[in-house]
Amino acid sequence: MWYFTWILGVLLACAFGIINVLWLEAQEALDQESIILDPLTRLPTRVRFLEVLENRIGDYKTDQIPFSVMFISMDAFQKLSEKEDNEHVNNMAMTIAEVIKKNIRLPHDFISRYDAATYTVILPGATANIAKTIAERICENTVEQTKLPTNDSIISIGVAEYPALIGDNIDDSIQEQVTILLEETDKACKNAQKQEKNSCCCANEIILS
Amino acid sequence: MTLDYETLKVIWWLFIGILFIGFAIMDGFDLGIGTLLPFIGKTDEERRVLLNVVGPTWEGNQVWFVTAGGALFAAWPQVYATAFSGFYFALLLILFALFFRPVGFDYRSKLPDPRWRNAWDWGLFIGGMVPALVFGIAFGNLLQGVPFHFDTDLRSYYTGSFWGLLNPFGILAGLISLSMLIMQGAIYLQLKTEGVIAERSKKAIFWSGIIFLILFLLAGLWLAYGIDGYRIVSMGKLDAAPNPLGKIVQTETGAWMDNYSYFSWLFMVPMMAIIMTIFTMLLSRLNKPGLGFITSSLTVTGVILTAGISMYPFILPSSSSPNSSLTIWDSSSSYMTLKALFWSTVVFLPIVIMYTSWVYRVLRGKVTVKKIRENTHTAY
Amino acid sequence: MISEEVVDLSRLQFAITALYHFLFVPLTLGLSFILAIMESSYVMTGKQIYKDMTRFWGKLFGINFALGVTTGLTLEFQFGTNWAYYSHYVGDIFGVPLALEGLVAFFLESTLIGLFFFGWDRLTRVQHLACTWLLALASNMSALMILIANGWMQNPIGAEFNYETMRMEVSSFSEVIFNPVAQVKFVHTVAAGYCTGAMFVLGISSYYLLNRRDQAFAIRSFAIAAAFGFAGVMSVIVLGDESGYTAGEVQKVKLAAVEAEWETVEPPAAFTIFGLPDQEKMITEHAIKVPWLLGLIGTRSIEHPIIGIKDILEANEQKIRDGMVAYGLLQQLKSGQKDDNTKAQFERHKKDLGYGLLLKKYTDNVVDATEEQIQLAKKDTVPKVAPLFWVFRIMVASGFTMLLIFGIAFYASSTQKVMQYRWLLWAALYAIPLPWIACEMGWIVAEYGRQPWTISGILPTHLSVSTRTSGDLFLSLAGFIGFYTLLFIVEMFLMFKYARLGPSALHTGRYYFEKIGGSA
Repeated sequence: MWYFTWILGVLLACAFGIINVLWLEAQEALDQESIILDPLTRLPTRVRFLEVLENRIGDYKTDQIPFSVMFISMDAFQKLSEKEDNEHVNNMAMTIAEVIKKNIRLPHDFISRYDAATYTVILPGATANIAKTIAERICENTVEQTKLPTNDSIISIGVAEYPALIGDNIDDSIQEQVTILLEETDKACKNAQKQEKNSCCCANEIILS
Repeated sequence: MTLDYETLKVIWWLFIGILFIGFAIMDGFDLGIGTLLPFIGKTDEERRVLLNVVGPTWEGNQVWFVTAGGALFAAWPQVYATAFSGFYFALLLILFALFFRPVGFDYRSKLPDPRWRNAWDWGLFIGGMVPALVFGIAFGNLLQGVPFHFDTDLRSYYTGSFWGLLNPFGILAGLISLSMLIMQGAIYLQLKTEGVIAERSKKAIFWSGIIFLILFLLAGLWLAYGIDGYRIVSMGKLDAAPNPLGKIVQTETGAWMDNYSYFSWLFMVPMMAIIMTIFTMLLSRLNKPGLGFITSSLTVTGVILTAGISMYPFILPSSSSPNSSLTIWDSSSSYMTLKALFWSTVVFLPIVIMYTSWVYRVLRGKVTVKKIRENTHTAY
Repeated sequence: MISEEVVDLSRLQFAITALYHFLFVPLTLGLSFILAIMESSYVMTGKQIYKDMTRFWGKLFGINFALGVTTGLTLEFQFGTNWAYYSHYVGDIFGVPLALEGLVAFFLESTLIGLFFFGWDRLTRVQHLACTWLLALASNMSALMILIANGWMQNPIGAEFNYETMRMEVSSFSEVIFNPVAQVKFVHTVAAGYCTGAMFVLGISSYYLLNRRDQAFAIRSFAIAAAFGFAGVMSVIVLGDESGYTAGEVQKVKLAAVEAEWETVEPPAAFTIFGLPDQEKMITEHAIKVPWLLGLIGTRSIEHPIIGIKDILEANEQKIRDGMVAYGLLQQLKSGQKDDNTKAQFERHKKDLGYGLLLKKYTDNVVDATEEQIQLAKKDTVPKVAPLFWVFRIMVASGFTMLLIFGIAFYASSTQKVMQYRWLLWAALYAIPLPWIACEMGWIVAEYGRQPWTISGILPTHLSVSTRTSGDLFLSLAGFIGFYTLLFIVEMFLMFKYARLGPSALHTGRYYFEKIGGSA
């Protein structure tokens, strides 16, 4: 009787251990997402970005001012899978943040650190073309400022204009519009990654072509 | 053939034999390589190569010894009791020598200090050489009989001494065991290494092979013409309850040859031991160490079987009180125990052999100095 | 007659080598499952940190395992070298689990440990994980075999004495395997191992957290250890209770001795927390008791009494006299008088033969033993109460302290409050020795409490030894103490070095001493 109980018991005890540590993982992930400011760059994080984006879309209904969203992906980061600090990588992240801030119109435009490898910018009033110009400038300046010895691509940028991108879906709920907008911008960004190094790509152009 | 008590007693003679042969083949090369460590490994990295050849599998190999001991206890408890308490200091010597191995392998390369590493290397040498030698000495003394007797409670009294074990024939048997296991270790080394280490192994095979052949033939002649063997003159029924005090035994020079004279085809066994040794030396020369390992293992099998066949059905003869000698008929466990153990072995031993082979397959490939350098913190 | 000095020295040697072996076994039992948990987390989440955890704690596991193997060899030899008559007398039953331990458990464990360390790059993730789980299972199977063997020493069912072979022979292996003492001991002992593994990881992780090093690594190790340890300590206490209950059924003298129950009191008996038992006067001085507690936990009722030592002694005196008769009949059988009448009489009395054998300590002529000798033998049937009393209480106190620590640690880790409770981290660090203390005390209760028997009621200790001289024993004892002390110093040195170093020992470049800012 006790032998049988032991088998069950030890498996249960092990499950206990696994569950407790996975619970810790989940809690930590949750914490990461809900922190207000990114500790390194002191920029707002994803939670705040989504808030601002939703507000912008809501505001459009009243003021009809278009805006653009920019995804700036730090390609070098994609190679790393852990979030352990690395001095070199952190320096690069800071440098890129500075470059972006120089090229946009603060505090009118909104910049945030979306995740470890991505910055996002909201440019109220900017059309896709303006956004693209700004993006190209950011790319140039980044190459100047970060003197990488290798020939790898440092950043890739995807832009998208609202409401042009949304098109017919403009009557969808704000959540759904946010989802579409982020998806398309992300696609544009990935497109840019596939192209030549340090390039930018415009989502509206993709849709039109 | 029914699984009756008599048959089981014979089967267990075979099974204990298989376990000891398994031990000698599998742990034998570990012991051999331990003995060769200071000689074939001349630099720290070379020694690490040797250690990593056996490192991942040596613990599993030693279990053959543990299981053989446990099976001895379970199947022949009186033999286990009498032999282990009788050979007290010999066994302690083996035990203390074996102590060096688990700690030696795991701890040796954890600190870079050459004095630390050198000390453990000599510990591992002792851990290889002493057991190989002493096992042989023990066998050599089994063949001569050792002085013990029983009282009516079947309590054993051993009246010999440790130094008494170090007689000429005993030492000869020890050297046979040592040279045989060195050959076994060296051929495995040749299989798993390359370059200068493999070359040195080949030389070791040649010399240990030659020495082994000379000593083995010498022992055979001595056994036939100079050693008093034992034979049972009268005994109760073979399937009777085991009690060593119920028989009459006679000793005579050359009596160990009895079994060979009854079944002359049994001479093939020592013949095989000799021929397989020669094959091993040849295959080593021809750079076919894989086959060489098989032939060397067959040599080991042949040697142990030769001794076993000579002594059958005796296990532990008594020189001071021959009638008290322990044979398979009168020192076995009960029928139920032998049967339970039999079925357990029949089920588990093949499983053991299967997953052991799988592990060797997973870990196949040569151990090189380059690999040691690449894995300097995880390798032994 | 056998020299008492040889008996005492043999007992001392076995005690030292067994207690020493059990310094390493419980850590193997528990840490192996903790490694399996960590590696499962790795395979489930894909996060590198869990692989690092498995490999780092695995390194410490290896250092410990090496000495577990070394000291285990000694015990396998020692039954033969120092307890030869015991080996002959009960080998038919006792030898079987030992042989099976090798065949079923050791082969698997020792073969897989090679793969655990060296197979990372040659096996898939799932294959390597399976190896780790099987390694844990095999180590626990090994404990099972040994505890079946030891359980049979405490409660020797399923076997009969055979006068023709002068030994015990098995009559039912299923009784031996399913012996209630064996079952309870097994789960209790492995649970103690789980506590040991968990406290080891918990304490060392607390050390890293206190020093604010490798915190992500340490907090995860802490979480796993806290949960596993909490489950383990609860099991060990429940099974400890069950052990007491089982002892009350089949080993009454041990329960009475451990609790210093001199009299059979009106049930339910009170539990003595503190006191000074006096074996000569058969009382406990300055006793502090909790009413009803012993009766409730020992018999799980309020009507069944706990038999006191004095009553047990009276019953044993009768058994001794019965045993004298049995011994006389046995002598007749051995000298050839094998008629049916003698055989039948012997069958009736043989269950008390062991008690008759107790007299052999005082005289070879058991049948004509004097009253004085019978009284001496009768006193021998109860072990020394004072040491048992205290050792047991130390074990229980350690166990409950661990319950507290694991409970709070589990709560803290599941509510993310660990770093806030610095006192908890200090407690966990200093509590590392607790499970070891509990384990050793437990074994002392088990084995010292079994005296004067090696096989309860069947074979007295003083008859079980080998026929060696005191000189032999002094030499072997010196050898063991010498070797073991040296090995212990080496092992502790390495263990401390690697525990202090932490996961930087893996040389992955990810941890404290390897990054900018840390220094070795």
